[in-house]
Amino acid sequence: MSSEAPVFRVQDLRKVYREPEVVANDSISFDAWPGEAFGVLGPNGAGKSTLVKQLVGLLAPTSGRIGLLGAPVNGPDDAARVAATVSYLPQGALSLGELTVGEAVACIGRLRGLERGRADSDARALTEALSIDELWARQLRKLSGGQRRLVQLAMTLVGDLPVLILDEPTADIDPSLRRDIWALLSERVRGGVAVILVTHDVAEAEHVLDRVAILDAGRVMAAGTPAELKADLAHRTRIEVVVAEDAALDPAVIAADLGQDAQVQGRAIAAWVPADEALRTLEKVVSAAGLGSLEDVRLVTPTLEDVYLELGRGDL
Amino acid sequence: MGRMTAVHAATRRAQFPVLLRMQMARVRAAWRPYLIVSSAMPLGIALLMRAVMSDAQVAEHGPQIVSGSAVLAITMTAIVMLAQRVASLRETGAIDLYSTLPVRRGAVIAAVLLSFAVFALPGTVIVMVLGAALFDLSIAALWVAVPVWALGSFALAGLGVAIGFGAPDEQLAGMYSNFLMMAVLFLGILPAGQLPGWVAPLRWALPSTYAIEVLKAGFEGEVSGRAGIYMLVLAAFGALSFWLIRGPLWPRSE
Repeated sequence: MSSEAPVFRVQDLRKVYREPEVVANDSISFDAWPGEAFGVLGPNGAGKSTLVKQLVGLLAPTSGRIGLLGAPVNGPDDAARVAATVSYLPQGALSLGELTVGEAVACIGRLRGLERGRADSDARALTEALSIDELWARQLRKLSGGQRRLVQLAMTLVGDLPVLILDEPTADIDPSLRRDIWALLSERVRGGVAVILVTHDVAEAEHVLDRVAILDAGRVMAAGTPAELKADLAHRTRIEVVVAEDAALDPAVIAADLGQDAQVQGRAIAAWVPADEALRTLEKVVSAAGLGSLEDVRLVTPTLEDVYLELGRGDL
Repeated sequence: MGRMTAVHAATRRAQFPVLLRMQMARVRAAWRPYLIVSSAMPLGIALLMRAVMSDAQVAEHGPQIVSGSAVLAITMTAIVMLAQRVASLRETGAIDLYSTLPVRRGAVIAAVLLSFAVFALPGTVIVMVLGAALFDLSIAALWVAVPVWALGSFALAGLGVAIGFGAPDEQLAGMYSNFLMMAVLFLGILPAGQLPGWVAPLRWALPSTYAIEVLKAGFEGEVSGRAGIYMLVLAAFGALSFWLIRGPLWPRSE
């Protein structure tokens, strides 16, 4: 990556909304590179969408700098220039509901400079890849929420722009299609496209992201590759136990065996333990409770989602 | 950088038909309300006026009433319906969508204005033809209706877009545009001589007045140089509103 220039270089970015005054982004810095999937993760209200709206020029930063291929992005007056390089999938409703699926995708392709025939054929290919080709002649306003999201995604992908910014691309989409979408995006990344992905679906995003920045309250709480972020938790393993519904066993007893940090939710108990003690601890719990009293027992190695949740609790 | 090159946005000439096609798709979904709303009320007003007027009054004020009704038909579409449409586009993020596409604002606005001028056309023609029959007016010099429709739609639609951009939401856009429509109605259809003295000069602040005056001259068969000046004024209103909505009034997030 270092031999190339970053697609986006964000330096000390700050965005403050007025009335009421809210600091949506503060001291945010990162680079996004060609051929890389960069994830912006965080809970609702963390400032993720505000961040990407500044990247595409829809919002002007309060202070700090955004560089796109070396040129500054200062707000709405730069949006048209950004749009020649960056394709943006926003959150929210799909507009232009009177257009058919085919028209919507092909028209956006034409506005991005494709010839009519190429725009139509690319639109066909994308709708097939996203399994919405049967909806080609249907008006957008007559689609379900998930179908509309897929059309929005096709509208974002058409035109083969070198940078994609996707805000919650798999929202409202069923699990089987999500896999197809991740596969499609991974293919684009391998082809050299820079993808900036905003999501709070951490578990899914872990498989496609090369680097991640985790935002909370407008600030970057942690950044790095998923492996780097998980390294802080690598010495720990999570034990998850579910007490059988008909067992006369108090989950609090198992929680006590798992240590003071164990969390109990109904019949489920979970606790982080040192990785080298995990098996021994689990054996102790199972022998004390009796296997017949337990519905489920698991040892879980840390995931990016665990990093995210632990950051939220302030444990890292 | 290889892959990191910007696409070449569609040329200006290629952009506009695509943008217009995107706007005209609305015809499929909404041609009935556009036709009914734009023609029913103006026709109703013309009918009402015809019913309460004496033959002498009909002869004297007929051209004014039919011209005012025809321009009201344009107003219903180009101001009332367009303002609500634009406010809705803004609320649903369509304006943001255009802002993130490599298209010129001017082309987007021109496509919106032209599409609504087209939506206004059937209602305007219906009102002019039926109104002329109702008031026994000649349509021999009504070629002026073509430039009036084009320039009047452009100028009034500019106001519609400005209201849609400026109103906080679709409902308020509807309310503001209805106020403006009422102004067009009272200042345009009612004969100027019957308006209170201090109100009459306000007519000239509205582009609709110039459109009505030219149409009236057409119905009276007296199209003169003054009509040309009025059309220039209409064009100036259109150009000013286009400049305003393309620049200072274009919605910007905080």
